[in-house]
Amino acid sequence: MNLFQLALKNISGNSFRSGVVSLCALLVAAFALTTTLLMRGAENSLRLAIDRLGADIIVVPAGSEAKIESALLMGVPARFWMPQDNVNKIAVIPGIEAVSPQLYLATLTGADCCSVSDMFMIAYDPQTDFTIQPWLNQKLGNGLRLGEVVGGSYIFATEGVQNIKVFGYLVTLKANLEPTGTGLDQSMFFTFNTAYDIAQKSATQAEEALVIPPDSISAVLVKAAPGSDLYVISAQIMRELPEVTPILSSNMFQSYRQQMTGLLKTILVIMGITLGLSVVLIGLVFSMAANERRKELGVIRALGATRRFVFQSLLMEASLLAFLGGATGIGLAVLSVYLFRKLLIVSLGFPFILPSPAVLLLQISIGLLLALFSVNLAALFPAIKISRQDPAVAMRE
Amino acid sequence: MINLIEVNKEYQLGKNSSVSAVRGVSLQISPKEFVIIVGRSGSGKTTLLNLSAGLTRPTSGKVMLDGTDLWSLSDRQQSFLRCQKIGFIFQFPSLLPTLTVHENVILPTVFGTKLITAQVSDRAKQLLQKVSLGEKLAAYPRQLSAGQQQRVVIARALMNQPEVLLADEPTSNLDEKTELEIMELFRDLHLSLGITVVMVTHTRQLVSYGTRAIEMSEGRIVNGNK
Amino acid sequence: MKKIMGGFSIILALVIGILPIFTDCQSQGRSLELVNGKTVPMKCHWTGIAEIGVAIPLGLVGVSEILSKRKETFNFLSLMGVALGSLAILFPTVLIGVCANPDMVCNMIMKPGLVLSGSLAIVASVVVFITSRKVAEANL
Repeated sequence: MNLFQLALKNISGNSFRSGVVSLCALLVAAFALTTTLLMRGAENSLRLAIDRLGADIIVVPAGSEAKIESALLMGVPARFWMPQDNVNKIAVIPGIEAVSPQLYLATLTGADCCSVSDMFMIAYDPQTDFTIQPWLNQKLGNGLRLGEVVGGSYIFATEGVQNIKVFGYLVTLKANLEPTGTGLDQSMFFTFNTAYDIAQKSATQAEEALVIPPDSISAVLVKAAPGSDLYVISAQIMRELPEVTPILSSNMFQSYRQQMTGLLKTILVIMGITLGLSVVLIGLVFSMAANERRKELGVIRALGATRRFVFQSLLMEASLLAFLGGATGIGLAVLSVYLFRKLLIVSLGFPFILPSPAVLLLQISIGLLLALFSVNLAALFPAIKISRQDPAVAMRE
Repeated sequence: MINLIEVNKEYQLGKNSSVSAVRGVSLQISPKEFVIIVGRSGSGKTTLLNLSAGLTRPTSGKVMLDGTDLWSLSDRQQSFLRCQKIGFIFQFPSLLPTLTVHENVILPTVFGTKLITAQVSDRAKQLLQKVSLGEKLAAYPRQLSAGQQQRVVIARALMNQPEVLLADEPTSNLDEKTELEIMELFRDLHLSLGITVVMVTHTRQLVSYGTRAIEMSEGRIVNGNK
Repeated sequence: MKKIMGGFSIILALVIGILPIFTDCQSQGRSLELVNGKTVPMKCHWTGIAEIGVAIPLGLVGVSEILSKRKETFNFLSLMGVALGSLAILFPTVLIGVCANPDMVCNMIMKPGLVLSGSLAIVASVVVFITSRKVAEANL
């Protein structure tokens, strides 16, 4: 029998006490992991969304900044227009390598009960596009033809067929993009030609016609030449076209970032309080336990245990309980966040995506370490006190 | 074997008050003796036993075990010496409730032993056989009677082949019949193993089991010292 | 510990039985319209009905775990708990399913709630199995 086995026997000997300590460790680990999963997940989501855009600058009509962010991040459909001619005016600005227009459209809310409601549709120009086309070339070998679409990870067709009805028009789903955790997951991409075809036929086929104002686009995606100053380019765009707003992709989603920072501060405060209370409670429990068991610990000293053994024995018990509670809390946290991710996105109002297995493992380790640290910290003082006690005094009534 | 030289033990009760549990006691216990220490409650018998085992530090004086001053040793050295040379039997139920009988008996070997791992379990079984509890290996203390528990404690005390057994009122919680059984067991162990026994009791009738009797009162030895 | 897990299993059974009542599409006023104009419940509703068939025996398993004493009984109850927990997971995922639209309540709340409850029921049963063996060894 060794220290570990002895500690294991001792913790199973008092279920209530062990349960309380484990529960505290569970709460600390679960809370810590959930927080990091959400915060890092949100950051990753934003980063993926920006990467998916592929553009250095997005030019939208002035006043539409919030709409485009909501559309891209949360899938809230946006509809805004500016003259198509803006593309040419922007293209000639020095420092710009490529420009490509996009049209933003939306399906009718609840039009089809079993497809994604509030679908955000993005029409792109295959002649100039530099974001979707490269991906399509890699995935499909060619671009999209008339009537063909590519969907985010949430877009799906009815079982058995690959067609989706949009404004009464049947489109063929060719492929799905990787998940980003953002509104792009419930977006649909197709060419300008398909958009105009849908608009034309929806007049007779759809419940409500899709209207695209003539000679209009929603946004211009800008790719800067390497080494260009994006701020200079943006300033130039605003001088040329005062009625638009250029948004740097790196500055995108600032309001969400601020929201997240605010939430993070609140969560950190709550976490600090939880940690503090847990340490105090565990400390009390261990003090009580050490007091109740002082005769037993006195006996062990009489049998030949050193002070160090008694100290290590108590900390081993603390560590085992911390590990047990921490691992359970982490398991619950990971399972809950994974299962309820969609609900969390809707409730919190910002997106997140689960991390890669390697990052998840790191976060789990941190959560466990935090649980171990807090429980051992709490048990430290009682363990020192009881191990230093005179065995004869400990064994007295 | 055990040599106490002018040992005093005072316990602090408050800021300005203390109580003397043992006053200026000198006592020598030789190998193979069976010493019985009697006295009323509060006479200092238990404190004397605890001092002999190094379980409490004397306020003044020396405690020698086989010629070594116990309090000149580090905690580690003292604990090891205690583990190897002393077997302690307590007044109160001292088995660990979360361990089985077998695990309780082998517990001293966790802190140090001359036995190799393979021998530990066999020795435990032998000792339990000797105290007539060979079939209770997997039982928990709560499933045993007070007398049976005390037998297990004796087996545990013998696990590391100690040179001396210190027993603090080992029969105080037992009925008369069981008390006599336990005392017979002590006598048998003393004679068969040649082990030194120092026993504290408030029952004068048990004095006849020993080779020497000592009486204590108010922290001093009043009768029978050598 | 077994009594605690038994009580926990009863709570999980209540969740498994009651959650779908409030989180299937039927409760949100949505149903499928057939070509002939009739409306029928969506499959999440039928999953909810099936889960009642899991919840009741799971509740009884919980009650039995509180009242029983014999090791053999706990072995059987643990097995039943694992099987019922697995069914609670399989009904909304594989056997019947829920609506495919990720925005719908049955997908956002009902399905993950049932999967979580089923998983916890399995864990509770495994804990009962392990702790009943320890008691059996101690009673030798």
